[in-house]
Amino acid sequence: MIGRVGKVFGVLVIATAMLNACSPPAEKPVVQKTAPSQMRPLPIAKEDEIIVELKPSAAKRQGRLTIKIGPNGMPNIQEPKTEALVRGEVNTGDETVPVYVPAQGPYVLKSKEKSKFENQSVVLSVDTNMDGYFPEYEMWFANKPVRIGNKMYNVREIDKDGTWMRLGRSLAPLSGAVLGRRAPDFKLTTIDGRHVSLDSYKGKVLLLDVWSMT
Amino acid sequence: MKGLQQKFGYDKVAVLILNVDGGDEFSKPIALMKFARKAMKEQGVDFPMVLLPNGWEDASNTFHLDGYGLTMIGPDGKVRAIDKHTEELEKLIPTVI
Repeated sequence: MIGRVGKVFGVLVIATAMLNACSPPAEKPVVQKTAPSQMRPLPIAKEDEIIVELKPSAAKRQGRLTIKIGPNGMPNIQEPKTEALVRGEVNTGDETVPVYVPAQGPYVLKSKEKSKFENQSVVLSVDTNMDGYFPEYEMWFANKPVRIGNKMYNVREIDKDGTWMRLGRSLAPLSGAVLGRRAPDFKLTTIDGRHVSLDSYKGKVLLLDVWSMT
Repeated sequence: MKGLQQKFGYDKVAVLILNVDGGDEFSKPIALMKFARKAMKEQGVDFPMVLLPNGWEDASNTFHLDGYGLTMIGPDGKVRAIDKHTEELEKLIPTVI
Protein backbone atom coordinates (compact mmCIF):
# COMPACT_ATOMS: atom_id res chain seq x y z
CA MET A 1 0.00 0.00 0.00
CA ILE A 2 2.62 2.44 1.01
CA GLY A 3 4.70 1.39 -1.98
CA ARG A 4 1.84 2.02 -4.38
CA VAL A 5 1.13 5.41 -2.79
CA GLY A 6 4.79 6.22 -3.05
CA LYS A 7 4.88 5.29 -6.71
CA VAL A 8 1.77 7.37 -7.47
CA PHE A 9 3.21 10.30 -5.56
CA GLY A 10 6.47 9.97 -7.41
CA VAL A 11 4.69 9.91 -10.76
CA LEU A 12 2.69 12.95 -9.75
CA VAL A 13 5.85 14.84 -8.80
CA ILE A 14 7.53 13.95 -12.07
CA ALA A 15 4.42 14.85 -14.06
CA THR A 16 4.16 18.19 -12.31
CA ALA A 17 7.80 18.94 -13.04
CA MET A 18 7.30 18.06 -16.70
CA LEU A 19 4.25 20.27 -16.93
CA ASN A 20 6.12 23.16 -15.36
CA ALA A 21 8.91 22.72 -17.87
CA CYS A 22 6.51 22.86 -20.77
CA SER A 23 4.26 25.68 -19.58
CA PRO A 24 5.13 29.24 -20.47
CA PRO A 25 6.97 31.22 -17.79
CA ALA A 26 4.93 33.43 -15.56
CA GLU A 27 4.64 36.94 -16.92
CA LYS A 28 7.02 39.41 -15.35
CA PRO A 29 5.49 42.58 -14.02
CA VAL A 30 5.74 45.41 -16.59
CA VAL A 31 7.92 48.29 -15.48
CA GLN A 32 6.79 51.54 -16.96
CA LYS A 33 9.92 53.31 -18.19
CA THR A 34 9.91 57.05 -17.67
CA ALA A 35 12.24 59.67 -19.15
CA PRO A 36 15.30 60.31 -16.98
CA SER A 37 14.19 63.87 -16.26
CA GLN A 38 10.99 62.54 -14.81
CA MET A 39 12.80 60.13 -12.59
CA ARG A 40 14.99 62.60 -10.75
CA PRO A 41 14.32 66.19 -9.83
CA LEU A 42 16.89 68.84 -10.66
CA PRO A 43 19.53 69.31 -7.99
CA ILE A 44 19.45 72.35 -5.78
CA ALA A 45 21.88 75.09 -6.76
CA LYS A 46 24.29 76.46 -4.20
CA GLU A 47 24.61 80.21 -3.71
CA ASP A 48 26.95 80.95 -6.60
CA GLU A 49 25.62 78.30 -8.94
CA ILE A 50 23.14 77.89 -11.73
CA ILE A 51 21.44 74.60 -12.51
CA VAL A 52 20.63 74.43 -16.19
CA GLU A 53 18.07 71.90 -17.28
CA LEU A 54 19.05 70.23 -20.53
CA LYS A 55 16.36 69.07 -22.93
CA PRO A 56 16.45 67.13 -26.18
CA SER A 57 16.74 69.29 -29.26
CA ALA A 58 16.87 68.90 -33.00
CA ALA A 59 20.29 70.53 -33.07
CA LYS A 60 23.35 68.67 -34.24
CA ARG A 61 26.92 69.64 -34.78
CA GLN A 62 30.03 68.25 -36.29
CA GLY A 63 32.14 66.62 -33.64
CA ARG A 64 35.74 67.51 -33.06
CA LEU A 65 38.76 66.18 -34.77
CA THR A 66 40.77 64.79 -31.90
CA ILE A 67 44.19 63.29 -31.70
CA LYS A 68 45.15 60.63 -29.20
CA ILE A 69 48.70 59.52 -28.70
CA GLY A 70 48.85 55.76 -28.91
CA PRO A 71 50.97 53.46 -26.72
CA ASN A 72 53.65 53.48 -29.40
CA GLY A 73 53.79 57.27 -29.29
CA MET A 74 52.20 57.68 -32.69
CA PRO A 75 49.26 60.06 -33.08
CA ASN A 76 45.91 58.45 -33.74
CA ILE A 77 43.48 60.79 -35.48
CA GLN A 78 39.87 60.34 -34.42
CA GLU A 79 37.56 61.33 -37.24
CA PRO A 80 34.76 63.72 -36.22
CA LYS A 81 31.24 62.39 -36.06
CA THR A 82 27.97 64.30 -36.16
CA GLU A 83 26.57 64.50 -32.67
CA ALA A 84 23.07 65.18 -31.42
CA LEU A 85 22.78 67.92 -28.83
CA VAL A 86 20.71 68.72 -25.81
CA ARG A 87 19.84 72.31 -25.10
CA GLY A 88 19.76 74.42 -22.01
CA GLU A 89 19.16 78.10 -21.36
CA VAL A 90 21.51 80.01 -19.13
CA ASN A 91 20.11 83.10 -17.48
CA THR A 92 23.12 85.31 -16.83
CA GLY A 93 21.06 88.02 -15.19
CA ASP A 94 21.41 90.24 -18.25
CA GLU A 95 20.19 87.82 -20.87
CA THR A 96 19.27 84.22 -21.56
CA VAL A 97 21.69 82.35 -23.76
CA PRO A 98 21.16 78.90 -25.28
CA VAL A 99 23.92 76.42 -24.54
CA TYR A 100 24.26 72.99 -26.09
CA VAL A 101 26.13 69.87 -25.02
CA PRO A 102 26.25 66.43 -26.60
CA ALA A 103 23.18 64.33 -25.93
CA GLN A 104 25.38 61.37 -25.06
CA GLY A 105 28.13 61.27 -22.50
CA PRO A 106 30.56 60.64 -21.03
CA TYR A 107 30.85 64.23 -19.88
CA VAL A 108 34.51 64.64 -19.12
CA LEU A 109 35.20 67.90 -17.33
CA LYS A 110 38.93 67.65 -16.84
CA SER A 111 41.77 67.34 -19.28
CA LYS A 112 45.45 68.00 -18.86
CA GLU A 113 46.15 68.33 -22.54
CA LYS A 114 46.66 71.87 -23.76
CA SER A 115 46.16 71.33 -27.45
CA LYS A 116 42.58 71.63 -28.67
CA PHE A 117 43.05 68.39 -30.60
CA GLU A 118 44.04 66.46 -27.49
CA ASN A 119 41.71 68.11 -25.02
CA GLN A 120 39.39 65.35 -23.88
CA SER A 121 36.88 67.48 -22.01
CA VAL A 122 33.36 67.90 -23.32
CA VAL A 123 32.67 70.86 -25.59
CA LEU A 124 29.86 73.31 -24.97
CA SER A 125 28.38 75.26 -27.85
CA VAL A 126 27.32 78.67 -26.64
CA ASP A 127 24.97 80.13 -29.23
CA THR A 128 25.31 83.76 -28.15
CA ASN A 129 23.88 85.16 -31.38
CA MET A 130 21.13 82.54 -31.35
CA ASP A 131 21.43 81.76 -35.00
CA GLY A 132 21.33 78.02 -34.55
CA TYR A 133 24.79 77.56 -35.98
CA PHE A 134 27.73 76.32 -33.98
CA PRO A 135 30.98 77.57 -35.48
CA GLU A 136 34.26 76.81 -33.81
CA TYR A 137 34.43 80.17 -32.05
CA GLU A 138 31.23 79.31 -30.20
CA MET A 139 32.71 76.07 -28.88
CA TRP A 140 34.19 76.02 -25.39
CA PHE A 141 35.99 73.24 -23.57
CA ALA A 142 34.41 72.38 -20.24
CA ASN A 143 37.79 72.16 -18.46
CA LYS A 144 38.29 75.92 -18.93
CA PRO A 145 36.17 78.96 -18.08
CA VAL A 146 33.32 79.33 -20.53
CA ARG A 147 32.05 82.67 -21.75
CA ILE A 148 28.25 82.81 -21.76
CA GLY A 149 26.98 86.19 -22.85
CA ASN A 150 29.24 88.67 -21.11
CA LYS A 151 30.13 86.53 -18.10
CA MET A 152 32.50 83.67 -17.39
CA TYR A 153 31.40 80.37 -15.88
CA ASN A 154 32.97 77.13 -14.76
CA VAL A 155 31.29 73.86 -15.62
CA ARG A 156 31.13 72.03 -12.31
CA GLU A 157 29.01 69.05 -13.19
CA ILE A 158 26.98 67.54 -15.99
CA ASP A 159 24.50 64.83 -15.15
CA LYS A 160 25.52 61.51 -16.65
CA ASP A 161 22.26 61.31 -18.58
CA GLY A 162 22.70 64.82 -19.98
CA THR A 163 19.60 66.19 -18.26
CA TRP A 164 21.15 69.03 -16.31
CA MET A 165 24.34 70.98 -15.89
CA ARG A 166 25.77 72.78 -12.88
CA LEU A 167 27.57 76.06 -13.58
CA GLY A 168 29.44 78.32 -11.22
CA ARG A 169 30.53 81.90 -11.76
CA SER A 170 34.19 82.06 -12.69
CA LEU A 171 36.63 84.66 -11.43
CA ALA A 172 38.52 84.46 -14.72
CA PRO A 173 38.61 87.73 -16.66
CA LEU A 174 36.24 88.02 -19.58
CA SER A 175 37.81 86.19 -22.47
CA GLY A 176 36.96 85.09 -25.94
CA ALA A 177 36.30 86.84 -29.24
CA VAL A 178 32.52 86.53 -29.49
CA LEU A 179 30.84 88.00 -32.54
CA GLY A 180 28.94 91.18 -31.68
CA ARG A 181 30.24 91.31 -28.15
CA ARG A 182 32.93 93.36 -26.47
CA ALA A 183 36.37 91.93 -27.12
CA PRO A 184 38.33 90.76 -24.09
CA ASP A 185 40.51 93.38 -22.45
CA PHE A 186 44.17 92.75 -23.04
CA LYS A 187 47.39 94.44 -22.00
CA LEU A 188 50.39 93.35 -23.97
CA THR A 189 53.83 94.64 -24.85
CA THR A 190 55.00 94.66 -28.42
CA ILE A 191 58.36 93.40 -29.50
CA ASP A 192 59.61 96.98 -29.72
CA GLY A 193 58.52 97.78 -26.21
CA ARG A 194 55.17 99.49 -26.81
CA HIS A 195 52.37 98.84 -24.34
CA VAL A 196 49.07 98.12 -26.06
CA SER A 197 45.60 97.38 -24.77
CA LEU A 198 42.09 97.17 -26.14
CA ASP A 199 41.56 100.79 -25.12
CA SER A 200 44.62 101.81 -27.14
CA TYR A 201 42.64 101.11 -30.26
CA LYS A 202 39.44 102.85 -29.30
CA GLY A 203 37.96 104.62 -32.33
CA LYS A 204 39.87 102.44 -34.77
CA VAL A 205 39.28 99.15 -36.49
CA LEU A 206 41.76 96.66 -35.06
CA LEU A 207 42.83 93.64 -37.06
CA LEU A 208 44.20 90.89 -34.84
CA ASP A 209 46.28 88.44 -36.79
CA VAL A 210 47.67 85.21 -35.40
CA TRP A 211 51.12 84.43 -36.77
CA SER A 212 53.73 81.80 -36.44
CA MET A 213 57.16 82.35 -37.87
CA THR A 214 58.45 78.82 -37.40
CA MET B 1 46.56 94.12 -44.36
CA LYS B 2 48.89 96.86 -45.49
CA GLY B 3 46.53 97.39 -48.40
CA LEU B 4 43.58 97.78 -46.03
CA GLN B 5 45.45 100.36 -44.03
CA GLN B 6 46.40 102.25 -47.16
CA LYS B 7 42.86 102.13 -48.48
CA PHE B 8 41.04 103.17 -45.35
CA GLY B 9 43.75 105.14 -43.63
CA TYR B 10 46.38 104.31 -41.05
CA ASP B 11 44.47 106.38 -38.54
CA LYS B 12 41.37 104.24 -39.01
CA VAL B 13 42.75 100.71 -39.34
CA ALA B 14 45.34 99.26 -36.98
CA VAL B 15 47.01 95.87 -37.09
CA LEU B 16 48.35 93.83 -34.19
CA ILE B 17 50.16 90.56 -34.72
CA LEU B 18 49.80 87.85 -32.09
CA ASN B 19 52.85 85.63 -32.35
CA VAL B 20 52.18 82.10 -31.12
CA ASP B 21 55.69 80.69 -31.39
CA GLY B 22 56.10 80.85 -27.61
CA GLY B 23 55.72 77.78 -25.46
CA ASP B 24 57.39 74.47 -26.14
CA GLU B 25 59.73 75.54 -28.90
CA PHE B 26 60.84 78.79 -27.29
CA SER B 27 60.83 78.33 -23.54
CA LYS B 28 62.90 81.48 -22.98
CA PRO B 29 61.25 84.79 -23.93
CA ILE B 30 64.61 86.29 -24.90
CA ALA B 31 65.25 83.52 -27.42
CA LEU B 32 61.80 84.01 -28.87
CA MET B 33 62.25 87.77 -29.10
CA LYS B 34 65.56 87.42 -30.89
CA PHE B 35 64.08 84.95 -33.31
CA ALA B 36 60.99 87.08 -33.94
CA ARG B 37 62.99 90.26 -34.58
CA LYS B 38 65.21 88.43 -37.03
CA ALA B 39 62.26 86.82 -38.80
CA MET B 40 60.39 90.11 -39.05
CA LYS B 41 63.42 91.79 -40.60
CA GLU B 42 63.93 88.98 -43.07
CA GLN B 43 60.28 88.89 -44.06
CA GLY B 44 59.86 92.65 -44.17
CA VAL B 45 57.18 92.71 -41.49
CA ASP B 46 56.70 96.05 -39.78
CA PHE B 47 53.37 95.56 -38.00
CA PRO B 48 53.37 95.78 -34.24
CA MET B 49 53.83 92.28 -32.87
CA VAL B 50 53.30 90.85 -29.42
CA LEU B 51 54.86 87.60 -28.35
CA LEU B 52 52.45 85.38 -26.47
CA PRO B 53 54.69 83.60 -23.95
CA ASN B 54 52.69 80.38 -24.06
CA GLY B 55 51.89 80.50 -27.72
CA TRP B 56 48.58 78.98 -28.70
CA GLU B 57 47.56 78.48 -25.08
CA ASP B 58 47.56 82.25 -24.53
CA ALA B 59 45.80 82.89 -27.83
CA SER B 60 43.16 80.40 -26.79
CA ASN B 61 42.77 81.47 -23.16
CA THR B 62 42.51 85.20 -23.83
CA PHE B 63 41.01 85.50 -27.26
CA HIS B 64 39.56 82.02 -27.74
CA LEU B 65 41.48 81.83 -30.99
CA ASP B 66 42.60 78.40 -32.07
CA GLY B 67 43.67 78.99 -35.63
CA TYR B 68 45.09 81.43 -38.11
CA GLY B 69 42.87 84.06 -39.66
CA LEU B 70 41.97 87.65 -38.99
CA THR B 71 39.75 88.86 -36.19
CA MET B 72 38.31 92.32 -36.56
CA ILE B 73 37.43 94.49 -33.58
CA GLY B 74 35.37 97.57 -34.31
CA PRO B 75 36.01 101.12 -33.09
CA ASP B 76 33.58 100.44 -30.25
CA GLY B 77 35.61 97.49 -28.98
CA LYS B 78 33.14 94.89 -30.21
CA VAL B 79 34.16 91.87 -32.23
CA ARG B 80 32.91 92.36 -35.78
CA ALA B 81 34.45 89.45 -37.62
CA ILE B 82 36.26 86.25 -36.80
CA ASP B 83 38.48 84.13 -39.00
CA LYS B 84 38.13 86.24 -42.13
CA HIS B 85 40.39 86.96 -45.07
CA THR B 86 41.43 90.44 -46.12
CA GLU B 87 39.05 90.35 -49.09
CA GLU B 88 36.09 89.81 -46.77
CA LEU B 89 37.30 92.48 -44.38
CA GLU B 90 37.60 94.98 -47.21
CA LYS B 91 33.81 94.82 -47.51
CA LEU B 92 33.21 94.81 -43.78
CA ILE B 93 35.44 97.68 -42.70
CA PRO B 94 33.35 100.45 -44.34
CA THR B 95 30.33 99.25 -42.38
CA VAL B 96 32.00 99.85 -39.03
CA ILE B 97 34.15 102.92 -39.63
